[in-house]
Amino acid sequence: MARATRDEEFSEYVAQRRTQLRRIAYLLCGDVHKAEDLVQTALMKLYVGWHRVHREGNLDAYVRRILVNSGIDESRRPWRREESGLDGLDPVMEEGLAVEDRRALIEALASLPLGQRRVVILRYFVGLSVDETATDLNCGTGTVKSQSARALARLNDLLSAQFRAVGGQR
Amino acid sequence: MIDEQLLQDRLTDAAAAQDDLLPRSVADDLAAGRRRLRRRRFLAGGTALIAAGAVAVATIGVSGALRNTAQLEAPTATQQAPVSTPSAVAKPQNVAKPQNFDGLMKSLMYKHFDPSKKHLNFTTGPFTINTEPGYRGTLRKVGWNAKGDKGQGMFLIGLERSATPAGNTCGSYFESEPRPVICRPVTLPTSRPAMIGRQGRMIEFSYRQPDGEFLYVAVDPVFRNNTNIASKQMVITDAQLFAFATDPALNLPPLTGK
Repeated sequence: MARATRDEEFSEYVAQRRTQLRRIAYLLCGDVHKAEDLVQTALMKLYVGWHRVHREGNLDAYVRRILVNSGIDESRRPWRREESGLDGLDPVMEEGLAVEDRRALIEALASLPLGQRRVVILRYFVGLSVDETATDLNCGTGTVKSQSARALARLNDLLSAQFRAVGGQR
Repeated sequence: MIDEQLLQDRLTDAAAAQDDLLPRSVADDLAAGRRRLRRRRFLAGGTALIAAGAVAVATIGVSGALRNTAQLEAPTATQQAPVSTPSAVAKPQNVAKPQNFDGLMKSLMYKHFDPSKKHLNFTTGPFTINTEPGYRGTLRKVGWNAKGDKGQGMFLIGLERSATPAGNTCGSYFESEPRPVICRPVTLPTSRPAMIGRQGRMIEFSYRQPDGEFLYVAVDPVFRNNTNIASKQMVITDAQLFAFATDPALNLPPLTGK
């Protein structure tokens, strides 16, 4: 009975949130396969701890934190250090500047230190406030602000030439 | 400088570009989650434990045999109980209750973790011995309180002799945490190897005694079942854990003819 309830609630939650989780994971690691692994790991942990997490509330924050921390763990494991991408399964290279911009952004993001990358994703993709980001990352708001400032400056440097819109030189 | 709104739009665009590359259904996620849960259970405790857990769930939902699964799944019956240690919730017929063992465990915990006897809270029930084919041991949650502290912490103590790999291993209790405990090998003052992991005040420790008995300790400043408020005063040191683990008195009671 408990399992049926859990499965039903879990399925409903995943159906609503899966796309967003995959996007966060993709921005974290820049590879669809690794992103899928990260989401699977996060969902597995969420499934295992479902009753407790559900009881404590704030599922989104919980799974987001799992996702971000799973990313760190996975990237540290030697067998996760394979080169990213397989033919036909990386983001499709369509014609046009938008695809190049997209790739430039992903590469610039990947070049950021993990802490800064996490702050950028949580602040500017997920849309969390400074306080919420600090809570998610278990750090102070000052750290979030400084990481954010450094990340934006770095992105500005990296993208101003290729990514004129983000670079502010429109 | 970067336009933050534009950055958000571009991030969303870049992230959405891969949405359809590896489409999956919710059923796939659920099936994968179950597979990984089964795999983890298998790695953690072996199929015998899973079978025992399934039987227990089918009957009442909790039993002494569920010692590992309860930590992973937190069945409904356990959630509603004031404590989560299965042996404290239900008393299977094959559980022996040697009073001297309960007293021994309490005295050792006081000795090493609370000499002033002001903090440990044993209202979760006695240390009982659960005996099954290939397994004999105890697993018990113990509360930690402090005067003026609204929070409550806990110890999860396991001592077992088992033919299968231990159900609770260092790192397993906090595995689902956003910041899991990462365990590392450590050499005890007795020159014996053990595993310990620490994430803030969350600790996990495991140690196989020279006689083969396996000790597992999880320390959590948040009791969880009783309250989600962390104890502000619960601080356990590595030295305390090491001394507890290597105390020569820490042993399961000898088997008797019964």
